[in-house]
Amino acid sequence: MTTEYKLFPGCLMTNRLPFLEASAKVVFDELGVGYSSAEFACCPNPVGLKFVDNKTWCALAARNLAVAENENKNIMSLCNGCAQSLIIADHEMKHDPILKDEVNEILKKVGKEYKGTTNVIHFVKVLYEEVGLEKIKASVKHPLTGLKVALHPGCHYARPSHILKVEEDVMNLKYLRKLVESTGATVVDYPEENLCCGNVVRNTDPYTANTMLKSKFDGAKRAGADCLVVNCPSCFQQFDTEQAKLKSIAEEGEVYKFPTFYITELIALAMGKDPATLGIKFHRNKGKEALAKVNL
Amino acid sequence: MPKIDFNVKRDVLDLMIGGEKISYCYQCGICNDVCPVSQRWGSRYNPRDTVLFSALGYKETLFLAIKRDPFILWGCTACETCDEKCPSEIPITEIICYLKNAAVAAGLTPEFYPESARTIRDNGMAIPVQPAINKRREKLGIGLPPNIPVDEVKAIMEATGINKVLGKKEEKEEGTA
Ligand code: SF4
Ligand code: SF4
Repeated sequence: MTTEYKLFPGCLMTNRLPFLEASAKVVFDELGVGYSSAEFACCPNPVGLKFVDNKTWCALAARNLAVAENENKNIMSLCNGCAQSLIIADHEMKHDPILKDEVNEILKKVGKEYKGTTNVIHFVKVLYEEVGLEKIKASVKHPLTGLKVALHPGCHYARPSHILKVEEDVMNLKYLRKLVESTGATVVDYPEENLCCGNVVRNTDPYTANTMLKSKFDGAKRAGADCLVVNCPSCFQQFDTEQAKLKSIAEEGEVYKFPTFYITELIALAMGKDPATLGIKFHRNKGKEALAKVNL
Repeated sequence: MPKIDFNVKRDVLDLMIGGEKISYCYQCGICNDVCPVSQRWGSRYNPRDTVLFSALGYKETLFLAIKRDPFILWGCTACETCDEKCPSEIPITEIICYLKNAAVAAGLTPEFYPESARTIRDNGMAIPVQPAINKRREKLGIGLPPNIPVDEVKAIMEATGINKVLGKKEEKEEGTA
C-alpha cells in the first residue's frame, strides 16, 4: 500500500457541509497527507441503514471497501459514522465467513469482490500518529492562544473500542485533545465530554435529543469554553444546525448561539488561513466572539 | 407465562460479535445507569430489560411493548456507552440493532428508517447531491463530488431482498415525546 489514501468524506460533508471538507483538504495539503477521491456510495449510515437491514448495510459497505482494494489503497474517513461503518462491516465479514460469502455472492452482480485487504482509518488518527504533533506545531503561524475549547470526539469515533481500537483509553481520549493543544488553544474539561450529540434519537424523539444537546452546551459553557471542537460532520450538524431548536427548552434569558469548529478548521486557522476562504461564514453559529479572542 | 420465541433466542446467541455472552448478563443495571436516554426517561427506556427479554426469547412480550411505545426500542441513541461499561462485555447495541431489524420487518419503525433506506437506494447516498451545495463546493475550491454509482447501489439492494421490507406499508410512529 502506498501512503495515498482514498478519501471518504461521507455524504453529509460532501452534500451539506462542503466547507468542512475544504478545511480538511487545506490541512492535508499543507501537511503533505496524500489523498484522492473514488466512486464511493453511502458508507452506509451505521445508525440508519444498519438498523433497517444489517446484511444490506454490510453489502454496501463491502462494495466501498472493494473499490479501495482494487486500487490497493487504504481509506481515510472524515466522519466518525463512515469510519465506524466500514471498520465494523470489515470486522463482521472477517469473523463470519458465511456473511462474507453471502456478501460476495451479492457483489458479483456488480462485478466486485470483497477480499478484506483494505484498512480504514479515521483522519484524526492519521494526523496524530502519522503526521505527528511536531509537524503540526511547526505549521502554526497564528497560534490560537487564549481560545478555550470543549472537546467532543463523538461516540462512533472510538466505540465499540474492542473493534475500532482507535486509542488506548476510550473514555479518556487524547488525540483530539493533543491536536487542539497543538494549535495553541486551551482544552477545558467538562463532565459531558463523552455525552452523545443526540443525532440518532433525534430521528425518533427530537425532545430527548434536545435535552442531550442542552446538557452538552450547558456543561461546556459552565467550564468556560468559547467553542466546541468536533471531528465528525454529523456531530457538527447536531451542534451547529440543531442548536436553534433549544429555544423551546431554554431557561429564561439563556441564549444558545454557541459555536462549533471541526478540528481541521481550527488547525487551518492556526496555520494562518483566512476564515473567509475556509467558509466559516457558512456556519449557523459563526463564533465571532470566539475568533475575536484570537484576533481573527 | 409469556410465549418464548426460540428463534430470537438463537439469533441473539448467534450474533457474530460475542452474542453468546448474553447469557452472562446478571442484571446489574450498569447499562441503565450509564445510558443517557435512560438517565432522562427512567424506566421508560431500559436496555437491561431489552437484554433480558432477548436472552429469554420473549419476543412477543417485547414486541407488544414496542407496539405500545416504540421508544422502548427506538429511543436508543446508539452511543454505545453501555457496551463499553457492561461488566460482562455483552454487545448490547448489536442486540438492539438485531431487534431494530426485526421491528422494521414487522412494520414497527419510525418512518425515518425505511425512508432513509429508500433515499440511499434511489440516490446512492443517505444525503443526496444538491445543486446549490455543488456551487458552494466550486467556490470553496474543492470541485464537484465524484460520480455516485447509483446503479450499483440499486442492484445490491435488489439482491439483498431489502426492497420487500421497504415496499411494506409502515405503521405510523406513535407519540413518543
Ligand atoms: S450492564 Fe451488562 S450485565 Fe449488567 S444488566 Fe446491562 S447487559 Fe446485563
Ligand atoms: S447505546 Fe443505546 S442503550 Fe446503550 S447507552 Fe447508548 S442510548 Fe443507551
